[in-house]
Amino acid sequence: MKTSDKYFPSQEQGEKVFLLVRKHWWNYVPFAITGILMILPIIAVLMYWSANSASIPYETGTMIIGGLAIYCMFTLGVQLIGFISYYLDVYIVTDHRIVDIDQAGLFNRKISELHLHQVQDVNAQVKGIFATLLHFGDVNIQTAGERENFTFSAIPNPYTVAKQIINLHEAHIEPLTEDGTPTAVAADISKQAEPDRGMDIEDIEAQAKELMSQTTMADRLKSGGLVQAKLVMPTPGSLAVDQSIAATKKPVSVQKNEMPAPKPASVVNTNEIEEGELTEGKEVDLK
Amino acid sequence: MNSVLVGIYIAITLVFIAFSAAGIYHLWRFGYSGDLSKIIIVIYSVISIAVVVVSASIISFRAFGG
Repeated sequence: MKTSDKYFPSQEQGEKVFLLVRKHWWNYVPFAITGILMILPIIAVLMYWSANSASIPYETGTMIIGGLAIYCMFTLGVQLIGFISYYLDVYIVTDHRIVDIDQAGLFNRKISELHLHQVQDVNAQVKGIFATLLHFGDVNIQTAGERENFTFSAIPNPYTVAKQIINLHEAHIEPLTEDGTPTAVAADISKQAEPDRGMDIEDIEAQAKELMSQTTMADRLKSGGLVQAKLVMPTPGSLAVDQSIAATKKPVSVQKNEMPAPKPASVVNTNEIEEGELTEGKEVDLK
Repeated sequence: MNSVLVGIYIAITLVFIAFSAAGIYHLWRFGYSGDLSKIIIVIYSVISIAVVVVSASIISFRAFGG
């Protein structure tokens, strides 16, 4: 993806932006009024200067110009800060996540992200006379777990934005596996567990029975004498069990060996998966 | 206009230039494609340069050349 194709700097490869929302222009009005008020003295001084330039002492005139220039710079600086704070303060909704970029001044920038899976409820609120007349309001996004809720403050058309977020959320979580895990998440975890995938339980049983049926020690040695099998259950809350099965006539012993749990993908809501579920051992009875 | 006032003017102008550079960097770096960031950068730069150049020219002429 070329830089020019990106809507925002941290946009990922293939990530589609559905909404890029700024605060309603009404929120910029105080800054605009401040700017106009700050320009008025400049105009007044220039008018005074043009009318009385002959009577103003030479050195005083130079000081007035210097002061006026400094005041103009100050005004420009204030307006620049106001514009940056307003214009770079945006809410972005993509097909994967919701990004809240909070720009307060030049050197205070905070970026919060929320995955669409973590959205639990979205509601819009329009409060006040101006908000009703000018169609702006807040959209509150409630999240799963202990995460802080997201609020889109004073954005235009809050009802439409809320509906679009709900639609995107539903479209994103629609395909679920049997245990309620979103397909995308389950696929991601499976993909991560793939390198460690060994035989499944049926394969282990079949191989153990085959070994048991072999009568001579030579056969056992020929076949390797030891079966190494790994069982991976690639769903959240599953665990990986490493089993070593000795090829003897003694009852088959199962050695539990917890493997590192598959690293949750960035899209997994860690609040929904208990840590114990990922690391807890599990007995597998092989006969 | 004595040299102290000219020094103050120069110091404030330098601070303003540094501040403007930081602001323009923010708009350039964090602006979004197709928005007003680039236009604002141009407008702000033109006005700022005009203010600095005109005031510096007048002050230097009146303080040292007049």
